Amino acid sequence: MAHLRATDDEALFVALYPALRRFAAAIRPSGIDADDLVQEALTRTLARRSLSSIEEPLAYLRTAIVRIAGNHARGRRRADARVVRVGPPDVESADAYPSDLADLMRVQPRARAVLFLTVVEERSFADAAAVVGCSEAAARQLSSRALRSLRQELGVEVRNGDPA
Amino acid sequence: MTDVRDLLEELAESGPRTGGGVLFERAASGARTRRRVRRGAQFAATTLVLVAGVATVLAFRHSPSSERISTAGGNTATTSAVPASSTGTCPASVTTAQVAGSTLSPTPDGVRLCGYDNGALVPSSSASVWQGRAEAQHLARLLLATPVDDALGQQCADRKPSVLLRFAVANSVVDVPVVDCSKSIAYVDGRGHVLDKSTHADLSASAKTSQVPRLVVPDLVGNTFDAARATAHQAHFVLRVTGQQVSTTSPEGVVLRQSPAAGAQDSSSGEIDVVVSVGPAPAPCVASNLAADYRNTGGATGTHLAAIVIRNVGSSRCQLTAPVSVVGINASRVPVTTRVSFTVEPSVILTPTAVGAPKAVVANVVLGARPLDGAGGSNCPRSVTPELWKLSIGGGTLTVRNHDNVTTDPLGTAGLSSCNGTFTAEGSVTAAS
Repeated sequence: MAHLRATDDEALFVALYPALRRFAAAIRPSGIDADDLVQEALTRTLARRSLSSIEEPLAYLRTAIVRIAGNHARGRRRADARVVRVGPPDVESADAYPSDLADLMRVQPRARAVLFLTVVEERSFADAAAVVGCSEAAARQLSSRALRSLRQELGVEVRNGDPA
Repeated sequence: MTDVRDLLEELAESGPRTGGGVLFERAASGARTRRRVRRGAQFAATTLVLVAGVATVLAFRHSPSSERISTAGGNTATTSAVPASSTGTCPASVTTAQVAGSTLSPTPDGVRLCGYDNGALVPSSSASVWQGRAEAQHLARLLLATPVDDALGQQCADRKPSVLLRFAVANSVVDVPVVDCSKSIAYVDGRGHVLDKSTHADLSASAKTSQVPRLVVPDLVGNTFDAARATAHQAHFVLRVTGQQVSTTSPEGVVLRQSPAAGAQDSSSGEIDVVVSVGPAPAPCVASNLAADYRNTGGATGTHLAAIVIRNVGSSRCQLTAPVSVVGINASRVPVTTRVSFTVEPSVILTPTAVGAPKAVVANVVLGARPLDGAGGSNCPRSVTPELWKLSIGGGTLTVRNHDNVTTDPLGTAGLSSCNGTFTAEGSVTAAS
């Protein structure tokens, strides 16, 4: 029975992987690999329950990814604060991404998750709020602030309607 | 102008890809490890909780200071959940209990006393379920009238600080550490409320003298039964109705006599026997208003083979008076036993009952038949059950058919010719319980 469930889970995950991976890559904190986020979210989920027992596994795993990314981001900010206090490390890490993406990476993961879901996947703010774990109004506010910031730094424009 | 959608798409497609299958294998492996770790952590936590629980119980047992919920004379009571695995739980199977010679029946809201004296349990056979409002009386009885009380008193006398009374109430226990043996213990009811001061027991008497304190029997004569019962409960006694009696002066339900008498000091039974009035005497029963039924009592050979149940099929109460006699007869109406006159209790009052009513038993004539002298050796029958019983009662006769296997063996027949003696019936007429 457990073997059958594992087989089901694997097939389900393989089907979900492309969407999960894209989502994780879009919201990942700087320095964290998208697949690592996905794997960690899946590991945490499987440690408690089978994937096939979850009603909406895609949304469930995305929520897990958002939380993990948020935790990483907070940890990174604390680390950065420590760096400011004690001075920069001897070896500086260089971001491999071009400047536009680097600016986007500075938007916090939860805001990027809302943007990705509403702009790229054209989901409603209610759906995005459910994944991120906040109210719809808060999701709108996250999106609005992120776009305002990006406009100022990159002069971005938004297609498919104004999420703000 | 940069499109945020393009940026997000580009970001979403960035970075290396491991592949879903590989990721799942890694995640599943990691999940298994985490489950093992979590189980280990849970086991450790459970063990820690159990150890802490045992330590708490032990500490509580040896440290009487606890949350104060009710006090009397400086003693403190505290409630706590019954530990499921603790030996401090009451036996669940107790339904009745013998205390001071009386059997007590449980009630849903009863209070169960299962242990005392430093947390040591009373054996289950001695555990008691207490009945309603009278629990304080019974608790006092147990504390004051059993040898264990002496041990408790002795511990107080020895000034041992860890004397602990444990009352199990519903699903919780009430522990009463005796911090001052010269003070009273507060008794609590099923809801944990302290009962009135009259229900307190002073352990100091038993502690100082190892003597069982005595209770004074209240005066119940002249009170209605309900009032007498309430008075008895207040004085820590239980009423037991031992009889009813006709009275031209006392209405029905009034206590006519009691034993022990009022003012007596009692420390053993905890019961007061009372005789209750049934009011003025009704008219004597007449045979035309009576019916009789045969009932096998299931007894062995010898006496008490059968009972004749007498019913009042009239319209009003009547008093059964002597003479009442019975004789066994065969199908030819020939007596096969000698006639025996029964004694009749002074006030067997028969209440009208419908014929065939299931609770029509109002008087029993318990009878059997056996050879008076037993002569004839071991081969002679020790009993006889004739085909019919002829009952003389109320100025007439009633015939009752024997529904059991008839073993009518008049003397000198059926190979019993060598048997001598006379078959007779014996019994008495009493009010049905």
